Amino acid sequence: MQAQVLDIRPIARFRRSHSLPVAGNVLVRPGQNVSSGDLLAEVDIPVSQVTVDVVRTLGLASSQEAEELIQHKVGERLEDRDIIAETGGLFSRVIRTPAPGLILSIQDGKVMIETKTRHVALEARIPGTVAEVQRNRKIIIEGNGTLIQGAWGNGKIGRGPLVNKVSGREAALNPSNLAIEARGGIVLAGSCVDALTLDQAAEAHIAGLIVGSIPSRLIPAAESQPYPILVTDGFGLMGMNQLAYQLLSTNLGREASISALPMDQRKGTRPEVVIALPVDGQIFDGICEYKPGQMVHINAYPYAGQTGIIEKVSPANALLPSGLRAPAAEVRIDQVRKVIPLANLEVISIESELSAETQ
Amino acid sequence: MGTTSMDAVSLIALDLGSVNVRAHLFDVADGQYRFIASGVAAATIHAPYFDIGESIYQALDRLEKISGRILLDKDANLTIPSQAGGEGADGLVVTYSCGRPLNLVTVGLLGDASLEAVNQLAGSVNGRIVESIGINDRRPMDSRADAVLAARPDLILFAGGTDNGASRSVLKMADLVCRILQMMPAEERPTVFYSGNQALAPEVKDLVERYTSIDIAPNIRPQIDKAEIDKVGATLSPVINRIQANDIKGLARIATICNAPPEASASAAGKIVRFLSSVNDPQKGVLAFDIGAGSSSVIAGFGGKASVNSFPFGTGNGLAEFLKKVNVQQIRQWLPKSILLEDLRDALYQKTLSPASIPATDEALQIELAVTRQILREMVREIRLRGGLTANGYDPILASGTTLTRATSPQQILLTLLDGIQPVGITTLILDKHSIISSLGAAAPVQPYLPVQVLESSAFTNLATVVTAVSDSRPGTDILNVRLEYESGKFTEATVAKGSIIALPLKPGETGKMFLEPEHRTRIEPSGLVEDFYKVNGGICGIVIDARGRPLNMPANDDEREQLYASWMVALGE
Repeated sequence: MQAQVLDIRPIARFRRSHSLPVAGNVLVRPGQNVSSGDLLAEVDIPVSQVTVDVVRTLGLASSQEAEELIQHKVGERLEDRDIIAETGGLFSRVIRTPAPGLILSIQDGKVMIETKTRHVALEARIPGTVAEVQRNRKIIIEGNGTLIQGAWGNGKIGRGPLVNKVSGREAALNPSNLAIEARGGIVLAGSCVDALTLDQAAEAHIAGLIVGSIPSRLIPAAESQPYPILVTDGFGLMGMNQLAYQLLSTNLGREASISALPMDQRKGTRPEVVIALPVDGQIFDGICEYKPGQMVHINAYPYAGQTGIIEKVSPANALLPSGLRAPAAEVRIDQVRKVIPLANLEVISIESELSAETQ
Repeated sequence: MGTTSMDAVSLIALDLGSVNVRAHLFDVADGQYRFIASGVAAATIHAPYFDIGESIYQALDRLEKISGRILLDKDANLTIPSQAGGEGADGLVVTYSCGRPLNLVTVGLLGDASLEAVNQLAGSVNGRIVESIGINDRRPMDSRADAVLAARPDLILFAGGTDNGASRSVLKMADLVCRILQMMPAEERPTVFYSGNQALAPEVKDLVERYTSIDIAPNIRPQIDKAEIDKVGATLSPVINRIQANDIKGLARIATICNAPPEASASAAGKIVRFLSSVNDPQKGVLAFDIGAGSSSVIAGFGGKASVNSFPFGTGNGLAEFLKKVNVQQIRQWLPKSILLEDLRDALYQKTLSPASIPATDEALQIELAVTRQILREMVREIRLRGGLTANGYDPILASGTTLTRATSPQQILLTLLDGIQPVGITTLILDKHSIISSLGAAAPVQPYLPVQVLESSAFTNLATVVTAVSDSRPGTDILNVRLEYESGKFTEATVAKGSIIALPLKPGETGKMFLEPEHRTRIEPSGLVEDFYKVNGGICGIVIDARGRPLNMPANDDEREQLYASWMVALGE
């Protein structure tokens, strides 16, 4: 059975695709080095328009007559109160633009003006090198370093030096952890239990927050923060998984980039932390099967966030404590063996898969 | 495309879900079409494959192992047609529910005519109506255009005018649609589906084609008092397929060897419901529920017509959408055991991060079944709002979905369905334990005998015949006397108290005569009539009399609720 994978590696090579919704203006070129948050491309997408009916407004006989009077062309920009058309003569009738904007079309005596656009700015989610630019829309960045994937993010991107002021992977963030040293840093904590602390973190101008878990009631508060928040394990108060905590703690002081974009199964993206390193890692394509000896992370209630080692993969559907039957594995978690459905496990020790690939 | 037709005998039906892909094998045995076996594999539409093809191969591989029939050749391709040695199958059909929910914009004229009809049509698509524009919309034209732009639709459903009726209004709306399309970058422009005044179809096509593709369908409202939702729905299906094929990598590839175009699962299941409603009790309708991981549906059939209602929520990757609609307390009311609201909320949101996960503990399973109940409640509420429920009740009610079929006991499934659907009258609850109903619908055009014969076989499980007794009496009051006479001549009798649920044994395959004697103005059928007796069919849970009340009100007290559930499960025979 194809395993779900949670990529947590001290040395990895990664390749991430960034896309505009439509073709736009690409600001980088292949071979260029970028940092997390750098602007890669941008585009303006129309969201509002107004149509001026010259025929009706001027009381003309035909659209042809209107088009002869219109003083602009498609693609021209109109400023506030610019004249669109006028009849001329002693008692000239004038139509002015109702708002500044770009003329999108002139057809059948009607002028369509784009009055508002939505600016889409595409920022780099990870540091690295621009590997490819496709059709002014898609930019692929490759990089090397430590990679830690997570479970949930509040949609923001940021970077800064890693800071750890809590006592352990289960410790909750509290205001005393947000002293001056945290300013501009990516703060580490096992969990966060209240919205007030999140607000105070914003006031302390931290660059980002990586926590193991948060209660789901804090989702709205987390989403409203101006800094990225990445949750490694999920919802509740289970702290951070040991492997992620260890890896992050050994990189304190180094610059980390957080891409706290929410998990999107269709695009294959999930929130992740990258610490760029001048090493050569390996790309992992995500294809592996469940096997004894693998370290796994449990992603479902009630064991979410726990990690263990697969001792045995059941050859047939196993009977679970819930009474259901499903493909499962016996997983040793803190010296206790539990039967966990394979669908609830993410393989996090993939070094053996990479070794197998290179043989 | 493979050959369509009556000479196909064995058939593979693939059902592509967002969590699982199923490969079903149907073949002739003892002169009748039978469901033979299924192979199931985890869907690979997402990372790392991003292509459904791998899971199709795995599902077929499992089917080979289970059925003992060789289906794949040495290059791992499906062998079609079947060979002299018995390898392969004669035909292939595909249904899918793994597509993402679509953003739909509906455009019509009058809110109680074309716009209502096109909104109903939109309800059959797995998606959400993000904007709806009618002729009586008070917003300025520019604001309406802006609203559609902001909604970023995948499809615009456009209707209006009876045939040879309103033309100026329709063309005005067409002009609005074109204006919107003009504003959009070419890559973002949605397809337009026009099902309005046919006399204007060429003109509308000319206008819209300058900007995007347009499909012309029959008028959804050819006359003011006639709506052709079913007919137009059939022409909408290939349009949806085309849009979804862009998202479901591998679908277009498998379609080249199918005997019919792939079909959305709910739409295919609609054919079966339509058929059943035309052959069953003409006084009653037929209902079919499907609870999926990404989307769910309820199909209501009556008198040979069916309305398909799809919803973009489910127990897996559709749970996040569902949690936007309901509050956690509404789910908690269905839990038989106490759990802190905060813990329940965390468990639910955790599930949105791991949509394919399986309940590992009893508590996790109860949470999943509580979600299922509330999804059923929401679907019933929604279809009632859409005017889609008939007052006379439904018989049978079919149910499918992994969450139901993998529950630990038939009593657990039955109670989930009864709590969620809360049927009235006398009905038969049937479980589609292999999730084949949509496959049967897809097979119908290829081999019409197949679905009819498989429906009559044991592929479907008769859970119970359910009699709902509704009374205003106080709980504990005796409201109904029941006598069940068996074919053997023996009988059993029971008195049912308000607030209780009981089960009388009658096995699948057996029939009996049920005599009902309501007391204290207890109502059974919505029509109010009570027959001298009812001929009833047996089910795994027998004949169930549900006198718990409608609507069902669950106690807020955790201990009370736990005791109540335990007593109901005992009463049902667990």
